[in-house]
Amino acid sequence: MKVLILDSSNTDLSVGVSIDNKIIYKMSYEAWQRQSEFMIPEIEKAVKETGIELKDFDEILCGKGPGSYTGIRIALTIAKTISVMSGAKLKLISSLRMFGNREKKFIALINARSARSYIGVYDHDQIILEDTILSNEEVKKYIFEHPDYEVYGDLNYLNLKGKEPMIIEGMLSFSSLIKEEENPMSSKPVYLKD
Amino acid sequence: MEVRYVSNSLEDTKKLALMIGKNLFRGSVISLNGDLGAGKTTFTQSLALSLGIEDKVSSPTFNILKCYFDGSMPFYHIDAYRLEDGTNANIGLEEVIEGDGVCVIEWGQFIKEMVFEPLDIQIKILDNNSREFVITSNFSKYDVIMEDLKEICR
Amino acid sequence: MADKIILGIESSCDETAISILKNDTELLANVVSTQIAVHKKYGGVMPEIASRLHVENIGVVLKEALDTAGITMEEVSAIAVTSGPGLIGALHVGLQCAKTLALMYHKPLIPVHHLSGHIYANEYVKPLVFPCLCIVVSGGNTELVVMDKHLSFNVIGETRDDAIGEAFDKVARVVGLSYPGGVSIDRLSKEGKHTYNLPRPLNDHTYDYSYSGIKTAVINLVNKLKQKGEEVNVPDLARSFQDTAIDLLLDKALPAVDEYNIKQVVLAGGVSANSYLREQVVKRLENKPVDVVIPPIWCTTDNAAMIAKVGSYLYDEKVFAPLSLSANPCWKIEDYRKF
Repeated sequence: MKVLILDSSNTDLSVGVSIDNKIIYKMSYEAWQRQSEFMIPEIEKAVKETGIELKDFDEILCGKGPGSYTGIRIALTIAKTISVMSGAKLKLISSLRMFGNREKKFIALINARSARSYIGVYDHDQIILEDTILSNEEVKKYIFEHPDYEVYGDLNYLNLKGKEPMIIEGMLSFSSLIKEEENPMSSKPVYLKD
Repeated sequence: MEVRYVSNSLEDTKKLALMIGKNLFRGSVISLNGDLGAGKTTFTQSLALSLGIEDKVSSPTFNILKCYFDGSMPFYHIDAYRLEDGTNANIGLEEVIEGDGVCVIEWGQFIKEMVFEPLDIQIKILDNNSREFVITSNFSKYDVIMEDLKEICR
Repeated sequence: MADKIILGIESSCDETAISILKNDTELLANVVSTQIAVHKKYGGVMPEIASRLHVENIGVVLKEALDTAGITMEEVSAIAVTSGPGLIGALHVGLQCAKTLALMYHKPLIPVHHLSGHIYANEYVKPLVFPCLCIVVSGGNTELVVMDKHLSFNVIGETRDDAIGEAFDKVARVVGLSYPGGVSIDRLSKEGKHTYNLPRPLNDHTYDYSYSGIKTAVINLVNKLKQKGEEVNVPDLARSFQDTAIDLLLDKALPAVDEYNIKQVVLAGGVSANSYLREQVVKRLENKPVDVVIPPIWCTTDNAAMIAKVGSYLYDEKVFAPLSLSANPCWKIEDYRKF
């Protein structure tokens, strides 16, 4: 099964390709406010390198948020367009959950600005804390109270050190737990600040 | 810290804008409030000029956000007029407000919760051509601006 | 020879729209997903809601356009998309859809300037004749553009503050009328008389405009009356404001007809739906050897047919963008080849 993996929900841009659960191509780099420009060119590179045409992917895995309003929309619109046109299955993964993988106990954090954070907490296949927004004070307290959890994310804004996520590996890891979107045409991002 | 400035003409307003403009830095946020007709956009035009922006700075009411990149640093001009009732307060503007340039928000009071550490400017209409500017700072990053303003304000 | 089929995508503001145009003139599909009902309660266009709805709508609109046209993507010659100006979040959605299609089906990508779309919408009525004066009037824009040939735009004047459509929206809100303000004011003005005197700013030798003065005058008037305990006669105010705003628009624009040897005057943008403007532009030019084009109402609101139309011309000139094309919310019409 050929899977295209896409994410632009935060500061990075990630494009990956897997065949039968093995990653054969990956590219991930910081592209804050440039994802709109570079996402498609990066997908074009992936297509050229792997020799798999966009319409031949069986499944598209895409980040659904929370994160940057504009960022989430970029990858999701691309994923939806491919899915609507080719019939490929669409699976949406939490932009926090993708920071870790199924072998870990981890807290995932993203700066939600105005002194708050997006937070999700996972233990292997279980969701311990459903993606939500907490104040930075509450977040620091949570981390302190759960020392057995690894903390992933860019935590400079909290003056802490977080582990760097492996987004493409993370998305692939959880994909078998995620149900495909029933109606890709109406798939929506998750903003949490609603 | 608070200072007040009375402007009796467009020239007076420009003088104030220049005084503030020359000390603005990346990450400056100005929350600009006053009734319809108080002159928020006019003040913003002068401020943009002081940053070297020669593009016509027109009202962003319809577009909510207009960006100018031809000055000394990115200039983001937001108009929160249509965001008044708060039900749509979360619209992703934080990325611009806590961004890499100067951000001026007309009707900033309507989106208070996302206006991060602003310099507050209130414009009161005194009469046809006269306005009173009340400039308030609660953050030390604007100290240089406030100190300079003391020279022309009371 | 193969048919030239342009797929146009527009999402610069509150409409998600996709159109398919065959051989320059035959519209195979013209789908617009109107969001006005959602925006009404917010008193105007909410950019974030516009963007969210664009993500939801774009798949549906795309499918419907292709089904209606009865064509496959393989038959499409190129994808034309509005890449500016407009609301940045909204623009991104149409743009990413266009880029995906361009990559997926190996088609050229054509960036289209939204206002050029409004100008070329008139070609669904009749061909543009040059030199042409375009009066571009909408919620976010007020510009006078002279074209001496196809795809050549010279902005001779524009607003220095508020756009005329924005003035309509604000004045409407001040007197409690519903969104869209232009429609409400147009409707009510038919029941009113021009009894309130409003100022006519920027009476100078330029083609520039200033609508914030009229807006402020209305606000001051309403406030003064309220202070005196008097009621505003809303139909009369609507009439007075509309007359003043439109008369001012034409007083400044029409001298350009002589200065630039204009052969044709076209209206473009949302405010060209205004009945008084449509009537006056014809009336004031009836004794001049000038053709006047009034776009049909469906052309005045945002749509993708106008984008496909410009795309058709740009296709012939091979104005294609790389796949790194990004949205430009502040794109100027004179720079339509710079992207």
